[in-house]
Amino acid sequence: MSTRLPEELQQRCAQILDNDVQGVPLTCSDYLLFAIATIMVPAILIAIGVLL
Amino acid sequence: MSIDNYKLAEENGWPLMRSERGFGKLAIFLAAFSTAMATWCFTIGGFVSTYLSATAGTFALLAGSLLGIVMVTLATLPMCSKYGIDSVVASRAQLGTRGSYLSLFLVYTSTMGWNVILFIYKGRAIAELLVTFGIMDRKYWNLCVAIVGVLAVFVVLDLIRKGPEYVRSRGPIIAIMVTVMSTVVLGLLIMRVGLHGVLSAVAIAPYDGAAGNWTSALEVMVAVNLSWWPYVGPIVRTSPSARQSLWPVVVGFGLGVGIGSLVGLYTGLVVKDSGGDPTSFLVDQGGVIVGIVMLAFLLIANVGTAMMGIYASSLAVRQLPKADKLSWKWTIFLVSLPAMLVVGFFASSAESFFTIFLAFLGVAFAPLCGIQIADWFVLRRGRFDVLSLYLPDRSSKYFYLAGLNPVGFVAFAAGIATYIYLLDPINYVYRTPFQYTTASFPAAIVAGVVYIVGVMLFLAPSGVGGYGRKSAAPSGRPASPVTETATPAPVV
Repeated sequence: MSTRLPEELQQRCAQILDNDVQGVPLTCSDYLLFAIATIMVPAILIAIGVLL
Repeated sequence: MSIDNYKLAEENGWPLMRSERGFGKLAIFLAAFSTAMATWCFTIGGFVSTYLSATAGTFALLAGSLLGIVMVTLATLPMCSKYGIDSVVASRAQLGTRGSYLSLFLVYTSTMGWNVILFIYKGRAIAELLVTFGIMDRKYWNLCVAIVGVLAVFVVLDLIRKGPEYVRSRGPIIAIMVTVMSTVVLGLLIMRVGLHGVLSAVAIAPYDGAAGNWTSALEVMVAVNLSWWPYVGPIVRTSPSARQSLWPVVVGFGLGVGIGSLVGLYTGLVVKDSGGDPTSFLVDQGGVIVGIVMLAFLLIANVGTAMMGIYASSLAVRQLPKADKLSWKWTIFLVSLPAMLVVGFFASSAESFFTIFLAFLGVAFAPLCGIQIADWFVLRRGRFDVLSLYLPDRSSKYFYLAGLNPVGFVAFAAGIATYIYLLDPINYVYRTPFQYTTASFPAAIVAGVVYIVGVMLFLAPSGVGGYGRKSAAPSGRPASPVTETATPAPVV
């Protein structure tokens, strides 16, 4: 039962569902740049490394 | 009741509110970078020198470090940052309230495994310096390694007994010092052997095919980056924004270990049988001054990393029932005790241990990342029932079957089987198509797909695990007083 949890933890679990107190999420452009940096850039580095 | 006990929440892995999180971009980057840069970089680079020359190895290390950070970032950063929770707590949604003991075990073994390697290498470096300077006879080498290694554990414990905040606040100082010192070490190495000597050196024992060599080097970097799984959650939960944490994680953890490993790569190529560790060579060539520089590097670099390792594993262990009753000091001591025993009695086995340990990281964390990514992005669409992450019994949506999610464990096993099929983790012998795919990425993809299929077939129809339209608060538990409205409902 939820009552077994410390009261502060229960309060935190309830309040963190509010978007205003959650961490700011990543946006679509963040994911796009992330994909470029971690997939496209390594692919280019590998291609250059193999060719050299 | 107001929420005001930040320290309690911080030490026990409870959700942190955005206003409580004080770490900005620079602090996150420095914490990540100081964790990534350690003497394991020598060994990782040395491992790559087995397969690739300096030019190819440099490109492979940089590419692999970026590729490797993909899975661990997607599997931890969005959820840990959103709810202010750590990686182990987040895994309860996929493995079950008791099933998350598996991730706790993985966190403990990986962080302590790294720490054992660091402590042993620190002991070996100091022993080598003492022998080189004629202070100690070589016959006491093993004893010296064990004693220095155990003493190093106590030094780290003394530093982190002040609490988690202290651990992270030291990150900037350590990161700056490590950057300067590693640049000095790289400069010394190139001065001694010359740039041409490095560039013309050939790989030590490559496979016949280029693809196998490239992929082996990339796989090592992917596996190393997967081992950041325990570290990312505890760091990013203290930042108010995932956007603020993303690039510090990619550059600090990912590129940090790649750049740091370059010294090990070059050393491994030009100093045969060094395994990438430049200590002995540089001391032989450079004498006392170079020896002191190396010693300073080893002490500073490894202390920062070991601190974060013990911190992350202590945070995970405190998730165990009743473990939160222990004081912070007792927690870190008990967590470190097995590492002390291993360092004290098995220091001479470090070489064989390292290769198997690297494989273990890929075998264990790749499937877990695949499952978490599939769950968060495909099945739950970016939301957890946060209270259920902490409820220990049937009132939790994540209780599943006796606290274990069978679908999660089957998917995990499928990922492990895929990895082992592609790459023998003991002998490091691969099967096609490893040379084109690595082993970690297919293992993660298989685990993720099996998880999605399993959830849709077995869990979603009955609403178990918070999946499906039938999902509701389990009996005996009131609905949460606050509900998320800005994110869509789970897709199944």
